[in-house]
Amino acid sequence: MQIMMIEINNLVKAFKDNRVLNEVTIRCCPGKIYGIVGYNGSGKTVLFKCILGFLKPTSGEILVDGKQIGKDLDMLTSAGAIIEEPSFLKNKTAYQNLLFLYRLRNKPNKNHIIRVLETVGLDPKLKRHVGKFSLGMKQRLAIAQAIMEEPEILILDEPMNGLDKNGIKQMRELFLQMKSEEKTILLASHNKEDIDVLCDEVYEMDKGVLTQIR
Amino acid sequence: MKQIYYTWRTYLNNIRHIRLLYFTIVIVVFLVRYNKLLLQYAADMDYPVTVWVFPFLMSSFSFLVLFYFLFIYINTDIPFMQRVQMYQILRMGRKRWIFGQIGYLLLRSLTMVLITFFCSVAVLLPHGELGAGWGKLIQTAALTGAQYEYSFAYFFFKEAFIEFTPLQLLLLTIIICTLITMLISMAMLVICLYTNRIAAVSFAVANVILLFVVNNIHPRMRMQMSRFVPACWAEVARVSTPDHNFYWLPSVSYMLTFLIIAILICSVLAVRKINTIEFHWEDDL
Repeated sequence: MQIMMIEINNLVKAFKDNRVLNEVTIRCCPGKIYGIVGYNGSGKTVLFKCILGFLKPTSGEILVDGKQIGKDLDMLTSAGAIIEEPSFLKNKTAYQNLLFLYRLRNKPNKNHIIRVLETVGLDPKLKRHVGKFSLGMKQRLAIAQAIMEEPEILILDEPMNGLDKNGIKQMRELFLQMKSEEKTILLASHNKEDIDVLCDEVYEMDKGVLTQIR
Repeated sequence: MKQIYYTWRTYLNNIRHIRLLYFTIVIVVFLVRYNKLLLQYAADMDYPVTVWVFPFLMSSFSFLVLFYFLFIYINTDIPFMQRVQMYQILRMGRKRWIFGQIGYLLLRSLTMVLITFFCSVAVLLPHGELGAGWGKLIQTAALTGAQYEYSFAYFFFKEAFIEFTPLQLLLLTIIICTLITMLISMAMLVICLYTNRIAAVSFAVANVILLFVVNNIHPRMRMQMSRFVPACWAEVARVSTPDHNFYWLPSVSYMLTFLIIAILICSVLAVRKINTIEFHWEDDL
């Protein structure tokens, strides 16, 4: 029997009268990439925010490694995540931003931060402040912050947004590498090729209803 | 340790904001204006003025109103739901994150008060003396009534010279003003978390309006009302100065106890609310 890393049972999320998530059920195991496709506004980001603990479910439960979000855990602090537009301290460099975030949970490890930045294709010695970064650079930095603590779970909302061809290829290899390391990865994307190349199982979100299509 | 690191880094990351620069510039501009006649008096007497005028400056109603409005302007980022917080909350968890923001509010309140203090010293320094005492000039101005003849923008209280040394009154004013601004900030945070930012800003503005009311009502009523309007306690320099035979400010121990307890209550309310709140991110300021 496979160990469930993430188990979502009959999750409902409503904002006033608007039901955004409708009895969503999904079970995710380590060592797999789960793709979620759907049009803008279908509820993908809301689902991810509920899993991370930023939003409270109206009903249903989200279990991560047997612990319920909102009851046993207030937030999924053990996950790496990219949701919404990446946002960092504008007048700091990429390295300074990552070091600050890394030190919130870990002892400082400058060499590790340097390695992570190189992995996502950013120059660790770049003195340019993040406020002057292009979208693609910010996205690479967002991926770096998501992976730098080697989390067991990755929640990725449009991770290839703004990346060039090489960047997309690099990140696909990175995510496949992480899958081989038995990470649990949830990925939302509009790009069919990303979904086809990366995902073991694919779900479609339509009007808050999640249906497995592969 | 991680909590202290996060609070300190949050302070360092956010304190160098353009709003604080605007705050400093406006304070300096007004201090130059406020001290013009005091410096005229010093020039006429051919005697240096002490630089320890900060407590008396904060007893000036008009300067206090300016200070509080600038302080409200600085606090427009409350309740800290900017998108840049997202990755931080994810790592800290809700409780530790809000403790970090509360610590940041304390440090920011202290910074604003200290900036005002250092600017008040800097403006007078070229013409002033750095002695340990109050200096003859302002004591003479207070005792002889010269401060009224020269229409000083703010006044000195002879009772304060007797009751406190400059260091004592400076420290007391800095502590009280920091706690007042901390309390208003915490109240804004709690109101933001429970309702919305408009209500929070309205509350802060209401404090300034109450300050006006307290300063302009009958002294007997002022005595009663001032016990519940912390904004007016920044005028702590006049705690020993009667107004129409009424000592209208509450005692220093009352002020400190009230402020600390109120801040603790706001902290508890903020922590309780943050456990249930949903995070909807705003654009970074």
